[in-house]
Amino acid sequence: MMFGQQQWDLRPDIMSFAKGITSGYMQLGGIQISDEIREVMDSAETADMWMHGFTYSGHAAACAVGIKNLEIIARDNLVANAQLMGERLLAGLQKLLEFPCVGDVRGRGLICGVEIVKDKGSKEVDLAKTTAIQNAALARGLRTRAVGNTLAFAPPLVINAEEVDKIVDILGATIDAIG
Amino acid sequence: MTHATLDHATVVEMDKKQLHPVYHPSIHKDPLVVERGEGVWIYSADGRKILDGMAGLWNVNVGYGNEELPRVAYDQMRNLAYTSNFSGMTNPPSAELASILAGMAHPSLNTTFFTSGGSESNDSAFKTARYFWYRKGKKDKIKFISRRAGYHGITVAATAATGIPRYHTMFGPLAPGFIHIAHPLVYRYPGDITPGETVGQAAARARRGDSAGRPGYRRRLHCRTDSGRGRCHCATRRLLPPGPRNLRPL
Repeated sequence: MMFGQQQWDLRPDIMSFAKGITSGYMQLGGIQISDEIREVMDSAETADMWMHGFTYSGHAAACAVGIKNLEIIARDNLVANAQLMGERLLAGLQKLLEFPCVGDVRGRGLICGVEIVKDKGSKEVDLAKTTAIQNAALARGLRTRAVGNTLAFAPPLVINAEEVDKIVDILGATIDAIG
Repeated sequence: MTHATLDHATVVEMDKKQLHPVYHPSIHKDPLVVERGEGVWIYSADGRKILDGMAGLWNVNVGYGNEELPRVAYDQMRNLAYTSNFSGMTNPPSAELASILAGMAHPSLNTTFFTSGGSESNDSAFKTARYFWYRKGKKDKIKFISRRAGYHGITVAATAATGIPRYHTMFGPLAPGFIHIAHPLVYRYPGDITPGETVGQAAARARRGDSAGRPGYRRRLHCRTDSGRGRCHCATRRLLPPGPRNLRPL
């Protein structure tokens, strides 16, 4: 599934998107609207027209990159790879639950989060240790991001099994060193 | 001179004239100067090779150093990089991309409006929702409900939708009409929760008779939103899935 909302049985009226549409090679985002909303726009008097839009809405070069990016994602089966590698990453990270400071490990697709706590029982967040792990992991060659007390992982969808294992290995060694 | 020829120290010195997103000097003393990337790897100006476990900011799907994307960017820029796309004008790539996206995410979503990023997208969504109800004669239907701990962007309206107090404190007053409800993180749900159950299902079970389809459900959700002042009090930011099953009744 290419879109997060497809993971559940949703009936969206409006869907925001951005980020992955160009893989970051150009700036592009957007919204999609339902046929019902489109009809309301198409039937408006000019006094009630939809007075909204940006200088760079529909930027030609950004949209050209978006088209090619979607083509690459489909051609190279990156959605399937994300699912497969995501399962491997989640399973690997779940092994880190044996560390006292790892309170929770969760994930969906190729997005995972690792919560750092002071105590597994109280679940008290440990922001200082989360930042320390983030910085120490970077020094060992792994970039993660502390989102509050959660270390976030969302690597490129082209990642392979060896690289997924590298994430788990470096994070595990980092937490082991920090304690 | 290309940018690649600048060494680490030179970039850091010049960078002192740049203000970075979510800035504090303590976290920018010795920034990582990323010079190039290849696949999942980024390479710094001081010679380090780093696995980017965050794909930039969750977005570099096809990985770094792709050669096809710059080629189409070059060709399109040479032809027409940009011109106005306001009503009355269009260009082939935006028309083609809208056509490709029609029906891709959901059969009901067949029209696309383009922005330059997610914050602009969410502001566009908020304005379009209000526009819809304005046109339907319901001008008072202006409220948005979002999750505590949820991040929705950083423009004025998106900031108000974001359920993370740290983004609010120093930028008040917030745009009105945004209400935050409990987040769906199972790990942090204080009540009794059974395996496989969502927070919403557990909360509904805890309030016996609080069936999702009944009119009172929405009112009760509002009751959980800190008196409707549009401020929330969650302790921290968390990475979590949206749990839409709880949202459908709204």
